[in-house]
Amino acid sequence: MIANCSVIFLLFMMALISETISGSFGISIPLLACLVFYLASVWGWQIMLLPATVVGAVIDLVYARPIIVNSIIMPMICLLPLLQSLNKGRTTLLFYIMPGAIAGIMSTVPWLFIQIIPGFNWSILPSGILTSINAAVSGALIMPLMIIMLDSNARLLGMPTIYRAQPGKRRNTGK
Amino acid sequence: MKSKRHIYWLAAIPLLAVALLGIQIFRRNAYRIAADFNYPFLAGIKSVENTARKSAILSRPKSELINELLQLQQENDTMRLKQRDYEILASHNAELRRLLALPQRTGFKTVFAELYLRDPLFWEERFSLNQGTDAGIREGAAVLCRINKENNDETPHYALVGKISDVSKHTAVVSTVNNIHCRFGILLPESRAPGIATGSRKQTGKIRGRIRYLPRDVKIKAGEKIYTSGLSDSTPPGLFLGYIAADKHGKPVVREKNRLYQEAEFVPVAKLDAIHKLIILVPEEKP
Repeated sequence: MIANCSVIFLLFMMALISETISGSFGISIPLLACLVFYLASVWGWQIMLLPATVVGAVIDLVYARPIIVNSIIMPMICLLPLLQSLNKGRTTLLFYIMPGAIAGIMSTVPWLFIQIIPGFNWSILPSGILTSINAAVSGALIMPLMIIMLDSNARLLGMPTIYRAQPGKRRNTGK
Repeated sequence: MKSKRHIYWLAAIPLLAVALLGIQIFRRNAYRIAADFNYPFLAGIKSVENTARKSAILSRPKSELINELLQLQQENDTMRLKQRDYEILASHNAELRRLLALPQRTGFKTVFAELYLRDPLFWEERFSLNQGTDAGIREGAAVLCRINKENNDETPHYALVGKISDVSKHTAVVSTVNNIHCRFGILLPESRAPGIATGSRKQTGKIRGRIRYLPRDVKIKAGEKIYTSGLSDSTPPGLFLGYIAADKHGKPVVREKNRLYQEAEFVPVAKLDAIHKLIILVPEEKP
């Protein structure tokens, strides 16, 4: 239990730092959103709800954003693994491109609205759409790579992997 | 068993909502904790970047570096002589204030900081610095950056970037002049008009700020320089902000707001994409 929690904490920290560093270079990569999706797929969305809320708040606080929105978006991303059940559990690596893109869009679009709504400033819409497309594309590319990397590590550590996950179940033991 | 689980979920949702509301209310305190917790990790990576930058400088020819050093020493000497003149002027000013029984002006101390974190979603509105309350930075302090001098020598070396909006032990957040929540009291020396500059959003690819509460009877020229007025205790006077924006016919972008005031658009001079090192002017404590 403690080992699993430590691994999850370390993964979150690594994703948080990588996302903030890439963000400092102007590249918006939804690493945390993809990681939340991965962990929710593996461990079950019910378990990941609270960590996702906390990590969403932390990323907004680290960036000193005016409103903490990610702590609402991240738990919503936790529900994305339920898409797998629509596909009757037959998931390939390419299937994960779609949730990656959705996670990318979900992590940028609310901010676009937050910037537009005060004063109805539609002039930022083109650049906002470009940012969302960038996040969607990077999310779609990152998600399969992240699954390959994290699954191979999970196998080494004897932890559950995404391929053995059963959508909608509370916890996947991987055995 | 199932009903117990439902009760658990029903209780968890309001608790989560209360927790979120709590974070939102105590956002500033939560920011300080989160920023200081992450600081060692992010600063470590930043130090690697700085080492690489220093190595790049060291890879340049020694003769070139010596020439630059000598040039900087000359500039330093000139600055020292000029500073001496200003110190005499400041002491005269303080004496006059004392004779006229006016309150003494407090000085500003300078803190140098580097940009260390930037939000891709609010790229031109907000960024973080690697210095905080430990270095003496306080909320509301003005932030400056070096600018390339244009052809005319009257252009100042430094421009106003924004002001400190949040500060933790090791980091500080700068709300830039493009942020709508960032406001400065300004003065147009040519037309002698005071006003309040606020940030604005991108308009057709260009960044334009807005100057409010300009007296309606003053005629404003396009390209006029904008400086801080110094009416606020936290911002010294005479900091260069930008120019009055011109339309395609070369006329100033001015709108009459009501019978008393007009509004003008301005172009901030600080190039926010290229900044790396910044200067923070922190007001000194009143004696």
